[in-house]
Amino acid sequence: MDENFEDNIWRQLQAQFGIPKINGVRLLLSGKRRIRAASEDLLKKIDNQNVLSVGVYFATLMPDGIRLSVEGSQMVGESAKKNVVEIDGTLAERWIKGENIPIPPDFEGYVIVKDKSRNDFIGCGLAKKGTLINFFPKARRIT
Amino acid sequence: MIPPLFLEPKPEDYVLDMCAAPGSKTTQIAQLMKNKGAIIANDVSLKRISSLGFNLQLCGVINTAVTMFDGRKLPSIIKDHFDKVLVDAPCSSSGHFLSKFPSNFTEERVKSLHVLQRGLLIAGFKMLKPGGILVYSTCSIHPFENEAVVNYLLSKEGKARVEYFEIKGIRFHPGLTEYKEKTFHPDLKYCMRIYPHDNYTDAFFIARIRKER
Repeated sequence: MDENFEDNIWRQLQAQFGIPKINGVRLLLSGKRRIRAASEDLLKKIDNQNVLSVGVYFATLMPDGIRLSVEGSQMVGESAKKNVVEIDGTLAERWIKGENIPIPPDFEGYVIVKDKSRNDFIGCGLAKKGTLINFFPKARRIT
Repeated sequence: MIPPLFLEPKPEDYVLDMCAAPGSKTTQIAQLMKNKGAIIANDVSLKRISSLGFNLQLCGVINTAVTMFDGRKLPSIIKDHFDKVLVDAPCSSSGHFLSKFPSNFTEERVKSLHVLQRGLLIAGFKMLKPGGILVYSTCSIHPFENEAVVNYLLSKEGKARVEYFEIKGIRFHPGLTEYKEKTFHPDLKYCMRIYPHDNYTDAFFIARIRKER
């Protein structure tokens, strides 16, 4: 486990979303760009050689920032201090269908999406000139 | 589901779910552990492991590692010992007889499953810490897949004890202590048999086994 890598990711999350480090949660690089989150307790126990995967897919490292997965947004959304866009139920429905949606133009870059009507976090999108580009996973879209 | 409740996993526990896919019981165990401690979720089939991974992701389970081994060989691969072990064994699914009776149900298949189930249960018990709890469950009603399997463990492992356990509000029947001309260990009455008319569910079988210190 590369602790420098992990510290860098937490620093980036702090800069991008104002998220503090979560106690008991470790972040690991999986492949070239994917980050997985796993509990500290788990990583103390396991022998990596025998394991196919640990924890959940948390985020992807993009050239222009960190793009959180749906579960990643749910893990850290509550503690995020910035770049969280709150949308109503109608827009949330369009979001989970996979559509790009309109948002206030003052957002730029990766933002966490919060469904106000359900008080739930539903992923992360790329804000560009008043539009939020959708990355909601295809397998989970409601069509 | 009932087997994870029988396991009583605690947030500090180290748990092995030996036949974990597609993961509904694993995610329930993770929830009961408040996403703390550690779970090894094992299954032998890559296809089934895909659905296990999907369900773990969907539920945001961060305390679980997935492995893919034949459960019977696990003791020689993973040297750890666990506080809790769930062996939700592959079975004939004869407990689904009301909704969808398995088309491939034959006595030969039951016999072959019985051998596999014995192997899995023995391996699971080997990986249990002294004082730890193992839950053996199937969705079959056939005694050869249930009491006969646990009876085999009791005959081989002197430290295995079947414990009585019940959950408030769940109606059940005791395990069988005899079937046809075969007699089982008297403690098998502490197992739980649930029939469809008890709680309006499919039928299944659960045994809670403790390894004595």
